[in-house]
Parts: sequence; C-alpha cells; structure tokens
Amino acid sequence: MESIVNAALAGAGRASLADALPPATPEGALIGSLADESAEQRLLLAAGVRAIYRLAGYVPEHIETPVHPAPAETKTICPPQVADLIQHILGERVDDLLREALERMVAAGMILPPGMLPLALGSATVAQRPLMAQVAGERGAWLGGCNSAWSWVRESQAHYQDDQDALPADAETIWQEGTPADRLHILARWRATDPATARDEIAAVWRQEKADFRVEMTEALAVNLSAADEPLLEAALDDRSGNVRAVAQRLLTRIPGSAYVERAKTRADALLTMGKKKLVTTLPDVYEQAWERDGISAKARHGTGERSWWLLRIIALTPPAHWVERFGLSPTDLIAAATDEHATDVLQGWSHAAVRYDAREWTQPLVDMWTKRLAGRRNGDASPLEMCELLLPHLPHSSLEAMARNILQHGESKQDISWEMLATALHRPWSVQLTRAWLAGLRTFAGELSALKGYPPDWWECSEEHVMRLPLACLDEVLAPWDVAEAKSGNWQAVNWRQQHQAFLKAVRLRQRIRDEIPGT
Amino acid sequence: MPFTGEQALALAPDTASASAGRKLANARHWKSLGRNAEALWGECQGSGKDPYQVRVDLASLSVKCSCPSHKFPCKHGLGLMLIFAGNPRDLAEGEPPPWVADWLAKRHTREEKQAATTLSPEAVAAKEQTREKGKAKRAEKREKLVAQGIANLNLWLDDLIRNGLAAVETQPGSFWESQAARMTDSQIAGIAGRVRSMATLPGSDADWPDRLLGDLGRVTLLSRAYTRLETLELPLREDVRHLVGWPLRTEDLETQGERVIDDWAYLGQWVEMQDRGQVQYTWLRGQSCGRTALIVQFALFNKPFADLLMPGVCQRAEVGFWPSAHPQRAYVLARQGDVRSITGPIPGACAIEPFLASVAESLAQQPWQERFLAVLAQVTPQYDAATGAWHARDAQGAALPLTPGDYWLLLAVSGGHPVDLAGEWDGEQLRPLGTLAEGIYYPLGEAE
Repeated sequence: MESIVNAALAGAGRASLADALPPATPEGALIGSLADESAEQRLLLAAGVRAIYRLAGYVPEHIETPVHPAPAETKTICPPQVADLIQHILGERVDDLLREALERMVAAGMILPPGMLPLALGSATVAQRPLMAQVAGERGAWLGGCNSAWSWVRESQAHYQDDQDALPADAETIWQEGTPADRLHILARWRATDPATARDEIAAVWRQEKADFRVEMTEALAVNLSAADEPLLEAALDDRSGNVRAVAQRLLTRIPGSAYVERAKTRADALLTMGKKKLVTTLPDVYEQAWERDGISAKARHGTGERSWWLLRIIALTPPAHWVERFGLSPTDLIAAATDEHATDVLQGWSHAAVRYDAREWTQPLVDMWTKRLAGRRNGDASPLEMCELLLPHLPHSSLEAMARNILQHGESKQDISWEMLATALHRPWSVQLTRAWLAGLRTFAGELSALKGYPPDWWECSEEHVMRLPLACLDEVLAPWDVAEAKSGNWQAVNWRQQHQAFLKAVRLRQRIRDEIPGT
Repeated sequence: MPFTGEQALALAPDTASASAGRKLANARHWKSLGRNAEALWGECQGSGKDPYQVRVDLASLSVKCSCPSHKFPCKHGLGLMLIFAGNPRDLAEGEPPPWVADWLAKRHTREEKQAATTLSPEAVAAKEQTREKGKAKRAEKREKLVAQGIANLNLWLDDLIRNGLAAVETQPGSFWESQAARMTDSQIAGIAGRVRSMATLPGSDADWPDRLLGDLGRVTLLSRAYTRLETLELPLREDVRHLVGWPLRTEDLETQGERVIDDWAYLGQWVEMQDRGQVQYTWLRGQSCGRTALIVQFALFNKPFADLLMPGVCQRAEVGFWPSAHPQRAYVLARQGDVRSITGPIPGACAIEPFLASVAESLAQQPWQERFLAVLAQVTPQYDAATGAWHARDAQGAALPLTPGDYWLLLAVSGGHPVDLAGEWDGEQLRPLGTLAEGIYYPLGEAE
C-alpha cells in the first residue's frame, strides 16, 4: 500500500507528510504549494487530486489473444416473424407446439437469430434439447462452448451430424472410452452399416458392461436383425438381468425358425388339443426350470393360480400363426372354440402373443371378443379392459376411427370401448373425416351448452391438450366463428368448458401461425 | 416499425407486468384496436363490465388507460404496444374515436402551453419578477445553512484524518448515516450522498483504505471549491453548486442552459436502488451533434418514473443541458418526431485508448465526474469461464472489465466477432447498456 494511504490509516497527526507525499508526484507537487494549510487538509486535498489523476490515467488491461469467433452459419436465420412466434411459444410453454414449430424449422433448414439463443437455450428442457440444438446453429454451438450449461448444443449437433455422415474416424476410441450415450451412438452406426462387426464388438465387451448398458446393447441388435444374431441372443437369455433377458426374448421371436420359437411351440403343443370344435386345455403339471430363461416365471401374477399362469405365459410366447396351421382354423374360429374353464387364460395368452408376434389378423377378432366380454363382465374382472388397452394400438387406424365416430354419433354404451381408451390409441393427427365429424358435434354441443347438466361427455372435452389431434388442413375450419351458448354462473361445468374451449382455440391459432409462418416440407 | 417488442417490454415496471402484458398481446383480448400516425388505441376486456380504454401517444410513448392499476405503464398499455410491435396489421388504421381524440387534443394544448412559455421571454421575465423577492430571501437563508454545513463537514473530515482511517473500520453504519443526515439538514444533499455511499467501503476489500481516502479527498476538494466559488469560471461554479446540493430544476432549463435539437439515440439505461427509492440513468447520444446526454430520474419505491424513456430507439427531440463545465446532465424538453429503432452506426464510437483519453479530457474540465458514456467501436465481448470475468477487448488488445453479471445476450449476438458497445464507465468497470451487432441494436437490460 502506498505511503499516503498508510499515512491516512495511521492518522495525519502521527505520520510524516513529507514521506507520504514525495514532491515528484502531481499531488506531492501540489501540496508543496499549500504550506500554510493544516496537515489534515494537505493530506486530504492531495488524496483528492491523486484519486482524480488515477481516474484520468486509467491504464486498460491487455488481452493478447482474442476469443476464437463462431464460424459462419451454414443454414438460414429464420425471418423475424418466426423468431417472434418461437418466443411467444416459449412464453406459453406448450411443449407439443414448440416441438412442431422446431421440427418445421429443422425441415426448412432454419435457425434462430443469435439474439434469441440465450432465452431459447436457457428454457429448453432435456427432452427439447435435440431439436433446440438443431435450430441453434453454429452460434449456439459456439455459445455452448462458452457457457457450460449449454454444452449439450454441440453434443446434440454432433450426433445429428453423424446420422448423415459415415462413422467418425475415431469410432473405435469413442466405443472404448466414450460416454454411454456416445458409445451407443457409435454402436447404432456400426449396426446400420456393418451388422456383423457391431455384433462382435458387443460380444467382446459384454462381460464388463453394467446391466443397463447390456440392455441397450441388446436393443441395438434390433436393426438388421438376422439368424446370425441368434447365438448371441440365446446366450443373453442366461443373463443375470431380467431386463436383458426380456429384450433378448423379444428379438428371438422375430428370427424365423429360431430355437427359441421352436421351444415355445413344443411347450405349447402339449397344452392345447382340439375336441369336437372345442379347444381342450391341459394345465402344465410342473414348472421346468428351463422355462425361466425363455420368459416364463415360476411365480404367478397376483390373483392367478400357478398352473393357469404358466399356461398363459406359454401361450403368450408362442406364435399365434402356429395354431392356425396346426388346427386349420381361422383366428375367429379358434377364439370361438376357446370355451372351457381355462379359456380366459388362453385368450389372454393369445392377445399377448398377437402383440408380440405382430399377428394383425388376430387383433380385430380378439378385440371384438373382449368388447363383448366388457358388457357382460362381472365386478372386479379387469382382464377385458386390460386386453382391449393392450390390443387397441395394434388395430388398423381406420377401425379405431370407425369406433370413435360411432361414439360421436350415438354416445358411449356399456358395450363400447370407452372414448378415453380410444383417444389414447388413436394416431395423431386424426383423419380429416374424423376431425370433421368431431367438429360438427362439438359445434352443436357448444350451441346447447346452457342445457349442460353435470360434466360434459369425454368426447366433447376440448382444451389446449387436444390441439395436436387436428390435422393441419383442418385448422381453419376449427377457427371459423363459434356460437357458444352463454353459461349460467352457477353451472360451473359449463363455465369451465367455455374456458377450456377458449384455451383450445388459442392453441389452435398458435398452431395455425406455425403452419403458415414456417414453411413445411 | 418504430420499436420492437423487447423495447416495449423494457418499459414494464416489473416482470409481472411484462408477462401480463405479453399475455394481452393478442388481438382476441381486444374489443377494438386502432392507430394513426400519432397514437395507438384499443379497448381491452378486463374483469370489469366495460372494457378498459387504452391509448398510447407514439411521440412520447405516454400511456393512458382507464384501468385502476397503479402500475405504469399498465399491462394493457404494454399489451397494446406489443401488438403494434409484433402484428401492426391487427391495429386498423383510421380516425381515432372521441375518447382518443380528446386525450390527444388535451395533450396538444398542454404541449403548446409549454411551448408558449418557452417561446415568450417577456412572460418568463414577468413571472421571474414576482418570484424574485421570495426567492432571494429563501436563497439567503439557504446560503447560510450551506456555509454552516460546509464548516461542519471540514471539521469532521479533519477529525477523521487526524485520528487515522484505521479507526473507522469498526464503526457501525450509523456513524456515516448520522453525518449524512446532518448534512442533508444543512441542505448539502450532494455531499451527504457521497458520505452515505462511503459507509459500505470499510472492510469491503483489501483496497478499501485507498478508495475511502480517494472519496474523502474528492469531497475535500469539493468543499474547498465551494468556499472559493467566486474564483471559479461560471459553468464550473454551477457544477460545484449542484454537486454540493443545489438541485437541478427543470424550469431552469427554460431560462438557462443549452438546447440541442437532434435525433437522439436512447442507448441504454439502468436503475440503481437507493435507500428511499430508485434512480434511473438513461444515456442518449445525438446522431448529428455527437453529444452525450445523461437523463437521471428518481422515483420512490413502487412509483413509476415520470418520463418513459425507451432504450434502443431514436427520436428527434429538443434536449436541454444544465450549465456545466462539461455539460452532460440533460432533460428531454420536447419530443418532435417518430420513434424509430436505432440502426447505427452510433456516432463517436472509438477504440478503448481514445475513449480513455476523452475521459481524462472531460475530467480536466469537471474533475468530480463519476460516470462516463463509453461508445466503443469494434470491441469483442469475452467471457472467461474459469474466473467468471467479462471483458470488452478492442482490435489493439486493450480491454475493459465489465461490471460483474451475465451478458449472454451480448455474447450471443457478437459470436466472438467485434461489435459496437455502449456502456457506462465508472473508472473501474464498464456496465454494458446496449450493443450494435450486424445492424441491429440490442439494449442490454438489467433483467437479462
């Protein structure tokens, strides 16, 4: 610390001013001309002069090397109205709309302007990152290099880039030393271009990997799956991890003629025989330990007897086509023939098998059968509902839409699959036809809202959650003027519906802007 | 488009208003929306029976709304401006309805009245005469009080330095506060403010004795200058009087001070919290004259600032400067033209060394200055992740440290390339106020 400061700290009465203020400094020279002043004033005035001199004589720092600048963009910066739109959607926090807007931007080769990046990157959720990274451009990647909270931009972009390009030169190093995400990425690339090498690499590292990673590696075999993969998958059936075994079982069912499928058939054949147009079921007597690795657990699901459970699982793992072949009957006839005391377990087994083996010709007859049972079901029998839920997503979309239109027209009856269940299974967006049917009904409902008693039926619910079911071609129709009846303030269900409806229309308008302002493909 | 959505949002009194305004920035909340060259208007359905009538004067961006909100501008005003910034087509061009026309007419008469006072020196002189007597008496009383205050200040300063600054490290805040209060009573509020700000120094960092000594020294110089006021040149006399505590009155600008008509760019602003309210600093630069104007507004907590000053825009206006050896403190007397976005270049932008030379020059004219507008040309913002330090580096490698903060927007728009940067320099740190990158001016607000 300089001597003038030391003098001030100690006190003017105790310090020597001559030492504190050498005449060679501007303040020292000044003090020399103020000999008449008190020591205190001389020190204070000199300090003031010194402070101002220092302010005026500030010497800037020197930074030798400038930062490495961001490279030029290869994509187009989106027009201002698109940037405004994205900013608006970010403020509204509607994830589905943001995803759609960003997907359209990516498809159109657009990126966000640099001024929006801090907001956009700062608000991106983990799920939104891959898309957000694609619209962040070179500038976003560069920013991520400066701010560690945004380092994911570069990683995400690199992965995306890889999908377009060949394997990186250092693929082997990444596979040996990279993060799990990077390694799986390399594995996926290998599997796509050179399935045999990928398989060998998996086999080579298998024993040293953790269970979660073994699951992912097994899953990677789904691409370009062939009979050559069978030995590895068969070995995976002996894995300690149940999750690994489950993936291996699923993949083995997809290899035609695999030993796994043959074992399943043999196991099942002993259980089902055909009597006089009726199936006769024989329950397995004892559990064989070898079943465990194929996916049949010894312990039954709660509420099911052990032997029934084994039956169900054995049927579930057997290709349904096997029964058609063996008994020479169609799926519909086979289902009709299942009537004995174990029929429910057999039918559940078939339902699971239809999904597992993607046996489309079984889905509709099974759904029809379960729907019938829905009407007649006794309390506590959850299986018809569960099976419908399991099978619905595998029905052709046209059947689902036909069921939906039926409810829109006639309402829900006890024999029907509920609207709620259908709505979950229906693909988005809906067809134009179904959308129009729904809209027409919705407009009538809105016009008669004042007559609403209790809750509105599920199918006339509309809120911002439902905006993604609309096909883009129908948005304008949705936004045509609405005639919504007044709701009495006491009728809170109607009041609530009006509010939800407003939120729905607002989301539709936003989606319309996305469609109109970001060019589609 | 005269202003952007971000600029409109910068006017929001708080973040709640900003987000409420953003929600209302959609035509469907509005019963009617309209505009002409002078104003925007709209009727917004609130919770009440009648919609609120909202109007915005485009020349001054003054907002008038019939809602009961005490916030200013209210969310309806912000919403209306945001619609205009985002979707101007939503506002039908046309003749204003009576409730807008009346308001505009009233504003015009008021402005004309002001103009009339400004234009007729006789009227001013007559008014002056009647005031003169009472004024002289009050002034005499005040001079006495101030003289007493300065004498007390000198005794206190001498005591402090005689006993040594080491002794003040353990003093409580009240040690400084009670001195400041006494000085305020003696009408030397300017010095009182400087003393009050010294309270935070002792023990704050290793350099505190050096800083405190410098501050005390400058106050001593000020006190000394005041006692020898008659020996100073006229404009510097005004500086010293103001720094001691004589307030700057807007009405004084009618009779004295310099007026400059120019296109003024509102480069940026920041708000400093003080014990009784908040102080807003807004920096302007004349596009043709190249001069710098600093507009300081004070507001009590939760009260709006009297004038809405939107950073990032440019408007033709008459600006009055209070007399000073280095005129900088100013007031917008009359707004004359449309509000436009700043597109650059900002006049007077230069590298760091020439800027620092200009700081030294202005200190030579008025040595008590504490804030300087820096308009730096072609500087690259840099962030050191290891230390968290931000710098602005020019082409020669000279660099100024930025006030600690997060400047990701600045970094994002520069991308490691040189930009023009406006900021407030306090002798140690540069507080970024706005940046011009690729022809777009971005105000850099506090809330970034």
